[in-house]
Parts: sequence; structure tokens; C-alpha cells
Amino acid sequence: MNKTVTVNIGGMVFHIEELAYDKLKNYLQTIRSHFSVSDGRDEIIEDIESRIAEILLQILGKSRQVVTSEDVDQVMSVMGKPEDFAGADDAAGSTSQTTGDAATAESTIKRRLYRDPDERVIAGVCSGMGHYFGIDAVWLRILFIIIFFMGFSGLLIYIVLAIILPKAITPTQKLEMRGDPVNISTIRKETESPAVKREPSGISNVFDLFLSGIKIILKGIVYIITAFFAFIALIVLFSIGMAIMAMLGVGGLTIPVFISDQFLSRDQQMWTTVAFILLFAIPAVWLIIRLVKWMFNIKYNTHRLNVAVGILFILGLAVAFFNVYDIARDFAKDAKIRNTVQVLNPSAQTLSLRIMDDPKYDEESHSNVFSTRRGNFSVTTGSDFVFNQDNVDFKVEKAPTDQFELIQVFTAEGRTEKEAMDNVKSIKYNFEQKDSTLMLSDHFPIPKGVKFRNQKVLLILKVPVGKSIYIDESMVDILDDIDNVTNTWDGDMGGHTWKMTDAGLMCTDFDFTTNKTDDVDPDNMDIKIDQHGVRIQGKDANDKDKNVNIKIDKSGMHVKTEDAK
Amino acid sequence: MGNLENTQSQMRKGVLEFCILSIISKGEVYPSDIIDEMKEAKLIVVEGTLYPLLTRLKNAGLLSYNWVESNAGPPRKYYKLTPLGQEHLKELKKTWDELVDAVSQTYHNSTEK
Repeated sequence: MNKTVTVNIGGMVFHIEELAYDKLKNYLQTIRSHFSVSDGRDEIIEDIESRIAEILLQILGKSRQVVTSEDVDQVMSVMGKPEDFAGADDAAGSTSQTTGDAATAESTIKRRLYRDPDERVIAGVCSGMGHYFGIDAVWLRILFIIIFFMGFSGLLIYIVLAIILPKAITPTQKLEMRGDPVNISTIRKETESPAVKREPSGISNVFDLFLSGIKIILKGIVYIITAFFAFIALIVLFSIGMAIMAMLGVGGLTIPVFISDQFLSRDQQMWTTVAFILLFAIPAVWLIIRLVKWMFNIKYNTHRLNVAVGILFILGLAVAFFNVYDIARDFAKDAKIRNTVQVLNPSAQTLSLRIMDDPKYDEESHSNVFSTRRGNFSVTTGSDFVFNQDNVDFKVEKAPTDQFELIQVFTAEGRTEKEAMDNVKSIKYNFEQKDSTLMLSDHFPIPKGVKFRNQKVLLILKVPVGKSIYIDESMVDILDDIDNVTNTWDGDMGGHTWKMTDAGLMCTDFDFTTNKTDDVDPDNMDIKIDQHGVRIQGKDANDKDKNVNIKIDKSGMHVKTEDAK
Repeated sequence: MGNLENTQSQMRKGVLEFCILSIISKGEVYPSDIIDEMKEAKLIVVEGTLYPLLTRLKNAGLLSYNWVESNAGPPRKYYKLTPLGQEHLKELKKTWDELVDAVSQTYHNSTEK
């Protein structure tokens, strides 16, 4: 019992067994592939189909209803092989120009480089190349042997070629390899009577094994590299995703939201997010798609996707450009406020300067968000978020009177002058005087709702001639290129007392003219190297209670700081 | 090996068009009639050969056809020569005669030697 299908051949209805149907369909396809449209292909097929219908009706007679495989065979034997009648047409005369064209069109089919497994000696590289270049493989083999003896490069080239070139396995590949036209009849011929196989030599079997080994190793390496990159891409994607979520203010990730709030307007935040998505997130996804596609050898056309990603990327650049331009405009104008504060003359001759303690700022960890030319913008984490601007500079000048004076210069930027002025006015700078000690702050908070617009505080202390100041070590960070007679570097000025003279500041408790540097002070250092290891002991010159011990011995390195306070 | 066969088939194919036109010149004919005659003359072995040829000759304006209803299947195409086809056939006949002369002349000359 066989399944049948109903077909229309030449306008007649036939019941035909499935196998027979496949055979007949294949046969007609083969005939079709022999002719071009200009030959009158459709008409020829139509005529042949009509004739086939006639023959089938004749064979079936009145007693049978179903066309079998044998019937199709009979039809085919009457009608003949497609090759036969195409050949007849070729030789039929000069008028068959069209078929001639078709033939040349077929012969221009691209030849492709394969390895030929049928005529191989080792891996079929030479025979494959021989087919490609139309020369006898023997010459190529000789060539390879010659290169091989000229420093083994031949072997390397051969192995590389053997790995790169695909093996011609299917009939289509074999036809392509030989540059034969690929159509159903040639494929059939190839399948029915494959090219004579050369007995593979012993060496080829060994080489095959070697080659497959190398291929497995190479594949493994490729997979590892791919996995590595995919992993990195995933991490990048993940962090970008987090950043975007943070910017959009999604759950919990409030710190970056605050930070971006502190810099950007709502619109700018939105456009930054858009630019991030276009410039990073989408390309990252695209990259992962490419990697996966490449890794698993998935074949589908990503051309449109590539174009789309490219366009979106350019769009992202444009968005980023205009956004950056817009942000830059927020810093276009600047404003300045200068006010003078009287500092009470200390009862002692010397005014002590030190940085005010701010437990929240000093003790809790504060992370720098970014550094400007001087000072940092930082955020203090903890129960409450405080944004601090560290742009505080301190200068010392000669006072015209015999009165200490502190001049505060606040500057900030903004989109308009008014905005810049508002930003200046938002600066709340803290300082405190306790008799002979002036306590300054090295940072000032930026209130919530006020954006970072490069707010700066410059402090100028006017010191009358004859009066002294003691600059505490804590001040070093905010000292801004303070002029002094010995040209001492700011970093070294801390911890010393300076007296204002007519010529300028002069140190009264240390001779900077002879001792330009106090980086290494042998008096306060003790270095011992013996069989126990190395021991370095450093003492603080001004505070005998402070010292540092560094010990290196067989148990490792130990650093100990002692602070008696 | 196939040299002889090849030459023979080339010779047969060369006269194929001439023979087909000759058969059709006798009146309206149906392709399978042509094939029967051709098979008898051993010029064609399989029917498939004929259809592309007929189509080509028809397209060249040498043949025309009429549809005729058939009892034994789909309607059939009955071919006949056009005036151009008749002219063409005459020319081919002339060439053929010349060829026969040429062949017999050269062949006889060579066998006499």
C-alpha cells in the first residue's frame, strides 16, 4: 500500500504514488534546468508534459488508476535523458545561438578552492589547488616539496591551507571545485558516477589524525577567547545597564542619581541616558549578538541590523555632542563676590591657622567623585548625603594696616550671569576664631537643589608687618602658592611659624635658606640593618609622641604608627 | 573510445533538422508521428530530443501549429511548414545533395586508389 498524490500533468488529472511523483518532479526539474527562458523553456516543458500525460494514459489503459514508479521509469525511457536531448539541440545548427549563450553562462560559474578528498595524497590541498588553477596537482606537490626543503615553511603553509580550505564533500562542492556548472543533471551525474578515488596513502591517514587534532585545539582556543570576550562584554553591558538604571533613578542606586542631579538638569540627565544607550548599550548588545553568531556559527543576515546599529550610533554621537554643548553652556558665565571680614588681633603675637574639624567630613569615609584643577568634589556617605566642594584656596598677603583681615572671594559659574550670581550666593563658607586661633574649613557644602557650577572659595589673609602666623600641618592642602622670602614650597610651610616682614613672610623657627628641604632629617631617623632584618624608625620633629616604625624581617613587613594623643 | 560514436552522433544531429522539416513537409503532423518515423530511421532514440527542436524551429518562423483535440489525452499540437520553412527546406535539400555528391566523390576517389 502506497500513498498517492493527485497531480495535474498537461491538463489531465493523475493519481500518482509519492515515490513516483518525486521521481517525475525531479525529472522535469532536470529538464527545466537544461534550458533558458530564451530557449522557450516554458513551452518545451509544456509540450513534454502533454506528451508525458499522453504516454501515461496509454500505459494505464482502463484497468489501472494509479501511476507507479515503474510507469515513470517507462516514461523516462521513452522521453530520454535530459542530457541527450540538450546535446542534440546544441549540435543542431547555427540558429541555436541562445543555447550557446546559456552554455557559456554556465561555464563562467565560479570555481572555488576546496581540498579534494578523492585525489589526495595527504589532505588534498594540492589536488584541490590543481583543480582551481587548472594545472596538474603533481606540479604543486613538487613545489610544496621544494618549499618544504627550503626551511620547513612549506609544511606550515600546507598545514594552514589544510585547516583553512574546506573539504569538497558534497557533489555540489566537488562540481564547484572543478569549475563544472552546478545543476541537477550534473549533480546527479556526480552522485551516480563519482570521480575515481585514489587510495588514500598511509601518510594521509596519519595527517588526517594530526589535522583533526590541531583543529580541535584551535577550536578550543577560539572558544576560550570568545568566551573571555563575551564575559567582558557581559560585564560592560551589566555596568552600563546599572549606570543607566541609576541615572533613571531605579531602585536603591541613589548615590549616582544624586551626583547626576548635582550636575545636570532633568533634560540633560535624560539626554545623557539616551546617549549612553545609543553609544554603549546598543553596540554592546550588538557585539554580543555578533559574538554568539560567530561562536555558534549561526547563519542569518545581520546586514540590516548592522546598518541600524550604525545609524543609532551616529545619532548617539549627535545627541552626546549637543548634550555636552548644552552642559558646557551651564558654565559659560561666571560671577564673583568679594567680602572682607575683620579678624580680631590675637592677644599673642602669633595667629594660629588650622583646619576646622568636621567630624562628618573627616571621620566618615568621603569618596572623591572627581578632581578639578585644585581640590575635589566629594560626597560623604552615611546617614545623610552631603556634597562638598573642596575648592578652597588660601593665600597670605601683607596688610596695609596693623589689623588682621580675611578676604573671602567666592566664585561660581552659570548659564547666565544671574544664574552664576545665584550659585555664588549659595556658597556658605564656615570659619571660626577662638582668640589666637583661626579655624578655617577646607571644604564647603553644596546645598541640595544647587548644581555644581565650579564654586570656589579663595581666602586671602592680610597679615600686618611684624605680626606672625603659625601654619598648622592641616593647612598644607589649601595653601595656594604663598609668597615668602625663602621661596619655600607650600608643602614645607606647614608646621612652622612665619613672620610678616617688609620683604614678605619669613620663617622664624626654621632656617629654610640653609635647609631647603626637610624631607630627610637624619636627627629624626633611625635606620638599622642587621641579621634580624631592616628597621626604620621615623620621629616627628615637632611632636615627639608621633613616630613611625617600619620593620622588615623573615615574618614579613610591619608598619606601625604611634600616636600618643 | 567514443570517437566513432561521437562522430556518428554528430553526423546524425547535423541532418536532424533537415529530416524533421522533410517529415513535416508532407502535411500536418503530430510530434509522436515524427518520432515514429525518426526512430525507424534511427535518427532519434528518445522523444525528449524532439520538443526543444520543434520549439526552436517554430520560434525561428519555420513552423506553425494548430491545436487538435485528442481522444487519448491532452490536445495535441499539429505542426506544418510555413512558407519560410518551405524555402528553408529547399535550401537544405540543395546543400544535402551537394554534400552527398561531395561525400560520394571523395569517398569513391579514395577507394579507387
